[in-house]
Amino acid sequence: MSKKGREKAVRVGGSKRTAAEIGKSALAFALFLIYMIPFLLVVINSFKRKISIVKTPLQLVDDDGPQFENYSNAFVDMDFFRAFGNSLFVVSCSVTLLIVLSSMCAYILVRKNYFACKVSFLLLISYMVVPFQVIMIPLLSIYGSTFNMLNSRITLILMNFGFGTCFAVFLCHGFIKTGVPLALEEAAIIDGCGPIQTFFKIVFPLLKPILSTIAILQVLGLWNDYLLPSLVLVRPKLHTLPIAIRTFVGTFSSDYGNMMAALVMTVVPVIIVYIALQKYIIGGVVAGAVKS
Amino acid sequence: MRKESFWKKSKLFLIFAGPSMLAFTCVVILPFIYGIYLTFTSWDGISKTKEFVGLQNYITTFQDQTFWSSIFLTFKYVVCVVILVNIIAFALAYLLTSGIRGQNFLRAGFFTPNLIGGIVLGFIWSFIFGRVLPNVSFLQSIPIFQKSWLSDPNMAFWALVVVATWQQSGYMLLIYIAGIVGVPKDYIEAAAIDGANSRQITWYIRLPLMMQSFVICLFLTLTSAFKVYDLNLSLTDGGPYGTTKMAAMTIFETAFTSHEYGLGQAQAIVFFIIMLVIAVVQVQSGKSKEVEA
Repeated sequence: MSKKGREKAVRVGGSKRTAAEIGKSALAFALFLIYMIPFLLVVINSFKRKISIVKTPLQLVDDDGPQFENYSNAFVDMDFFRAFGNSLFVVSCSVTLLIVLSSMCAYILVRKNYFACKVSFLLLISYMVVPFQVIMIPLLSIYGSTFNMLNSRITLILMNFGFGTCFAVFLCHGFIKTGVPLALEEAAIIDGCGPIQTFFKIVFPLLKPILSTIAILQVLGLWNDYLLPSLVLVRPKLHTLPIAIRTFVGTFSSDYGNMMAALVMTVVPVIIVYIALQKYIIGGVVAGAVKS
Repeated sequence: MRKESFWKKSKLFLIFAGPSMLAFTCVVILPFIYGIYLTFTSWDGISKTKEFVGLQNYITTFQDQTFWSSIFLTFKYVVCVVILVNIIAFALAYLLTSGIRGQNFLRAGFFTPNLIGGIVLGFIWSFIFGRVLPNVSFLQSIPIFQKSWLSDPNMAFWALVVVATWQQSGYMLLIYIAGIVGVPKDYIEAAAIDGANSRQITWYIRLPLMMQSFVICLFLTLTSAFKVYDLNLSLTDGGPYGTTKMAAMTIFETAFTSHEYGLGQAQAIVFFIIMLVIAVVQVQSGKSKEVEA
């Protein structure tokens, strides 16, 4: 694509390697190392006993060799599997709902000029400037005090869907308007497809680029979300990873070794996924930011 | 095409947009309206009755010293973070696009902190500030590193700024790189043929053409800095002695710790209006400086 071509054109300037360019590369890598130091320190210290963490946090290996108990302790105390499973369940259900239902909504908002469509779109985009703090207190009053729907993962999933759908519809709306040819749909209708068939057989597959952008942004946001899940899922059995790690650190705050191990365990799954899907994640983040 | 009947139109709309709009109405529109009603009551979040108090909550909010000091602290934080993040992200983007090796690897690497939520980052850095820095012998000769930043009221604020800058510069870097790479090559060549040096090319060609990137980055850093909560909670927890309580945390505590739902919601509305005005002014003033390529 043209973007790749441009990237290449920028790199052409580097064909003659001068001292200045080597200096620049060295500077960039040095800065990168500085950026990574906090992570490295946590990883190093997660294999050490408390006494050597407190006395010599920069020492690479504990005098007694690497301490793996930190991990097994943290694993059990944090109930890692349960928290991980809760996070996985909430995030995957929320994102599936968002992808399917938001793209359907965006489709009708683009293709039909009903009054309801115009009003809906206006309402959805105006939410994007509203901070969550404005919704938080009444939301909890309605669904906590009045309807007593808290402490349910389903409630959280539906809330995630309701909050996320604005941005998802907005991104899909722009994409369908410019990227999906109306002629294809007309052909499908002539061939006897109803509106639902037309959408799922013709339009939905064409939306793949924007839907993957939405999925990436939503997974990143929801996996790390703390405030809303902590308000909805109060019972410890339902805690997602961010809540579990905060509870864990709050309870075992002086157990540095276990704490470091818990932090590493929370971060590592994300890093593994990132290494595998790095190109798509970076692309998705840029596309999402530039289109808003 | 045949005119669609009202019944058919509604059916089509409900099938396609129904689920999204229903969820949106339930979690955004209803709470928003109910929230405005709450600001006129003195509800504590528990009792069955909600006593109507008129504008009392807004009057209390405007006279509340702690609320305004948290708003001013948030302003200070926003200004520091927006400036630092954007300068560092732009400088890094400039460095990475200047034809060095491993550009893509570095770009992905600098982004890493954004994969991890504010809660975990806050804990990682509270270990760095609390345990590592005060224990590194070669830093002990520098006065600002002799004591843990998190126990010093002045430095705890800067600890928040450092972590936010460290995290977000990797995000904005991506947008700036896309902006720099998106400037058409022929414009730069044309300027070079006309005898412009590299500083002039940057200043008169690149920067005006990538104004859109600046608008996006400023908007994103501004709105996320205003709403900071997770990092605030896990890095300093408002401390020491409540000196780093940002607006979002103050609202949370008014409502859920002090059980003053009405007052907390009034604070939230005031906070929202302040943020809205600033965001609109920023986007409008930035848009007017945009240049079409």
